Amino acid sequence: MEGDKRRTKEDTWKSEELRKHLRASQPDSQNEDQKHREKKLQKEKSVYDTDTHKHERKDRGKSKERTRERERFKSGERDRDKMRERERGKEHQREGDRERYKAKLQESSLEKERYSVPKDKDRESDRERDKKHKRHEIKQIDTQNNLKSFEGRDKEHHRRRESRHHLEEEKTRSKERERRHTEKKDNDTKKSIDKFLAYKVEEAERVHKLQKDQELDKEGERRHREKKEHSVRSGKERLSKERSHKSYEKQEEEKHKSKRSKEGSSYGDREGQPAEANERVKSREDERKKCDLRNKKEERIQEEMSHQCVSRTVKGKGKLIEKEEGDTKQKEMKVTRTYNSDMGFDNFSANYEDDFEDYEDDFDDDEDKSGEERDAEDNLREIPFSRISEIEEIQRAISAENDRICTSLPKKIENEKKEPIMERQYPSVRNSFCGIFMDFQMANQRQSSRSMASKQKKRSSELLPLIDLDFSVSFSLLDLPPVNEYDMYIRNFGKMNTKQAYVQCNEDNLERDIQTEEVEALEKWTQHPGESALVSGGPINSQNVSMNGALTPKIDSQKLANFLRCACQVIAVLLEEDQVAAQPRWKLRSRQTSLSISDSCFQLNTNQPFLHDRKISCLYVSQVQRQTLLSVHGLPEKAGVALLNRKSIICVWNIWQPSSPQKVLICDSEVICCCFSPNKTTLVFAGTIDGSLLVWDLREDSRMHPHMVISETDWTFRVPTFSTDGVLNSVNHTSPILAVEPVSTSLYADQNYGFSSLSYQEEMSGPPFQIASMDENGILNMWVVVELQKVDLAGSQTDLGLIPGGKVKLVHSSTMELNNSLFPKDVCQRMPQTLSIKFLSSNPNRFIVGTNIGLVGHGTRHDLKVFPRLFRPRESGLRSISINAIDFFPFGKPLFLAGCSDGSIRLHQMTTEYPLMQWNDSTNGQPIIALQWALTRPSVFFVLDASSNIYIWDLLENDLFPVAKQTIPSENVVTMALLGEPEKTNGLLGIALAKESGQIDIQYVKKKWALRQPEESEKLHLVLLQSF
Amino acid sequence: MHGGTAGRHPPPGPSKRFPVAAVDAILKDVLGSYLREQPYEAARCRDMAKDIAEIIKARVKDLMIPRYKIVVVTHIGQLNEQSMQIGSRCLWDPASDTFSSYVFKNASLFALANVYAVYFE
Repeated sequence: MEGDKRRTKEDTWKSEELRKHLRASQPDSQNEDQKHREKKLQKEKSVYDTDTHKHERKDRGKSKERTRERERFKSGERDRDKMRERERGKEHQREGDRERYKAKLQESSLEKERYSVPKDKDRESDRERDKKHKRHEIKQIDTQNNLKSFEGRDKEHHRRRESRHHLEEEKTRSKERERRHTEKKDNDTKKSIDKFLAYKVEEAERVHKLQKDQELDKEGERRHREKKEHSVRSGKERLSKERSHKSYEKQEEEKHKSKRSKEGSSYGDREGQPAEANERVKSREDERKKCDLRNKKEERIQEEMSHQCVSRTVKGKGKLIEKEEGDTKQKEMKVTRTYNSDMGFDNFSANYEDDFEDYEDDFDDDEDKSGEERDAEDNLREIPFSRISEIEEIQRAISAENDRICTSLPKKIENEKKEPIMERQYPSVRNSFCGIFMDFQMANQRQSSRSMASKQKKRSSELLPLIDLDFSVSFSLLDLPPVNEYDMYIRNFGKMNTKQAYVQCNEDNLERDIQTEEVEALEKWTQHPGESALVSGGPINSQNVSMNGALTPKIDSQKLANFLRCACQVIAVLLEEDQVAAQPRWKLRSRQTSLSISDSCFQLNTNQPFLHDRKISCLYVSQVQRQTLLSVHGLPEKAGVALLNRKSIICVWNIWQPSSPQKVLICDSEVICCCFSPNKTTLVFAGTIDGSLLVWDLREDSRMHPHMVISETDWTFRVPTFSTDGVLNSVNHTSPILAVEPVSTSLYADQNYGFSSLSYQEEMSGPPFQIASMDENGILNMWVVVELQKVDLAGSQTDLGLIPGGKVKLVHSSTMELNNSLFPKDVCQRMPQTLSIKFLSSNPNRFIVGTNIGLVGHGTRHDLKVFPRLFRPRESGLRSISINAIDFFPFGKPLFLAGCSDGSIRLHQMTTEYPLMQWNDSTNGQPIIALQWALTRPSVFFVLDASSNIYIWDLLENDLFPVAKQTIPSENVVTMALLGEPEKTNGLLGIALAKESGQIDIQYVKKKWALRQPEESEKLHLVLLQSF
Repeated sequence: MHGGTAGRHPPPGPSKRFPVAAVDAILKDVLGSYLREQPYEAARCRDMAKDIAEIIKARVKDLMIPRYKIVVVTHIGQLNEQSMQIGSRCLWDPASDTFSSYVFKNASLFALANVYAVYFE
């Protein structure tokens, strides 16, 4: 036992030295040799441990070792060995002396020995400390490591066993020693019981043999030689063994010392061991903190730092044990070693073995280190420090208990055989050994204590993961949300003596809007060389079709509606013609013509109940669609239909359908003048006597307007779409509007005549035009006609004059005061009154204004100077002659006719102030009401005077007098309008005559005045030139 | 380049320059007459901008300037101590194409009217 300890001491010392000197060391160095031999010895021992191996070895060994001996002599190493054998005795003595001296010193001061470092004892004390530390470490590992890897467990098991062994060894030291002596004699038979025990026993036996039976027999001699070799190799080990026999008391003392230190370490783990560790590794540092964890850590660090010694020492033991346990590998190695040695390559084999051992050492080192580290990590990870300390306390308590038992027990069984005691002590380590010694009391106690400890460990290990801190749940210690508005308000103002009041500031009535209109985009298709007539077209429908998946017939409802409208008109006209043909009354009336100037005539059916007793004040024929006629019917003299009592009525006629008006427009005030929009007959403008300008959009749905069933016919009376009445007060007329004229800005308006597009798009976005309205005071207002993109059926909030659902509105553009701008001061003094206005069709910027002083003003809308400013009659001086009618020459030349209230007719050209021609007495002084150029012949114009006489002038035929005069017999003719299509040469020229009774007669003049003659314009030009 | 032959061809540029001054007068007149007393109301001004553009277009067309295409852009915004920049960019021939611009302000709103005249060859 002592030898074992000693050997471990030596091991540690050797390993320390080895690391320093191994590689570069000479083979002469004693330590190295010793180490080598020690290793061999260990292996040999381990070989001897197992009986079978041992016997085999012995059987074989007798011859082989002899040969080996011989070879040893041959080899230099053996020589050296012999030399060492010789030296061994000296060494023994030296060591013994040293030990004795050291023991004395240690006896005198144990603590001093630990801390003081005398040169002689330095190594020894260091070794002892190492040993203690190692034991402590082992114990700690034993106690702390619950969960270990298999390897670790194995090693731990060995260590534990070893540590136990040490403990028990120490406790029963003296008795065991005695026992050992006796044991050694008959131990050979019992080697197989416990390998470890056997090992020890064997060792002891060897020692015994060394001491007593060294040269008894051959085998003994061989053994002795082996052991000599062993002892030589192990050097101090053997020395210590020998010493243990020779100097017994001193060893005892030494053991006392070590026991004390061990006890100190076992009972005062916390205090003693860290200090020792520190001293050992960190070269006498002061006492460190006593926390176990830190101890462990330090130890680990120390192990890592000086793992040479620590792991070596641990390994020294572990290796031994492992080898004892019968590691096959090692056995094989041993076999090879033995064979090698048999073959006589001792030297080589030794070196080789050394290498091998080194390799093994390294391997073990790594294993141990990793195992220990892993263990430590496991401990750290799985067992909280508090638990560790708890467990340690428990462990300590258990060990104390065990100690107590152990100290008491040996006394009881002192008389018993010593083998059982030995065996009995080991069962506590390993239960499988219980077979021989059956001390149930001790076993039970230990069992119970162990089970207690294991239970607690188990419980702790089970509980710990449950108690583990849970990081997944988080609590907010303080949650202070921001104070919301109401709470703030209540906090500040929610006290007593405060009142809550509301303020309506409409702050929440925010409005957001976008002032950007969407970009209009159209898809068109085209194909590059345009081979057919159809090269491009409207939106591509293929995408829609493909998207819909099903072929849906594309119906352009607008186009269809337009087509139906046109077709309906045609059909209606045809039906009406059939009706006329069928009904003799209409036939008669159409044939009947009392007028000499006309071939035929017919009446528009103004015999409608709502048109009774209404005078016609105005007729207007569209410039674009010559068959469309407006008739303005004034207020009724007697109360008629209730709804229309105070309404003026405008009827839209198509002369091809004379049986009834196309549309009936009503308004509240009396209409003085009216006109169509310049390009299409979709809009009707009217100026009223109270100065308002009205617009009707004829495209509007009839459901927007009031209906009335009169004499079984459903009539729709359309109210104005837009009215300036009372809306645009700042710019509105304040006196009766005398004239309303469309001003088309299209340069090519004439080319568009007769080109009726069915496209709704074009209809909507036709060329822009303005409406000029002139009142009695000479105020000329220009209005821009704006068509709205979208319809608001709820009515517009900004356009108050617009009917709900209306699309057209008038926007005031500009205002001119004609009286001041047109007339010079001398004329202005006469307070001229403007009566009529006409815009030059070729240049709408220029216009002429008829006045009541016989002058015709000439103006432009952009303040440009024009010449002449006035068109004067041939007579000088200003007379009160009203210019009742003005008509521009429709065939391009800048000529106009002016009919005056004195019956004079003047033909002016725009470039001269005075007329080209003037006819004064053609009407016998009757005022001229209307006058108009014939639409089909440039040289013919028609004149109506106040006495219902129609005069036909043909300047080619007679430029002094009218060529025909026709008096309308029955009634007064209020006004006259010409119907005709200049583009056609069919010779149809109608005269619409509005009679005072409200009848409208249409006379088709005779062909001679209607059909255009060849080169008529040139002839007229010549006539006009002659007139200069 | 013989003078005789060159004289027969129509001149390459516009026969009559775009009357910037006249258009300026139109802008001034229209904006002034429409917005002089007008407080800023978003809805109304939205319509007003359209109307004014229409009026300006109509009145510029009244000038009967041949071969000029006209683009009218109007802005009406509130005057509320804010800063604003309105920019425009055109791709045109500076020899023939031009523009006219006028800014009107009253107590509550500003109005900007631009007329771009692009000569159509």
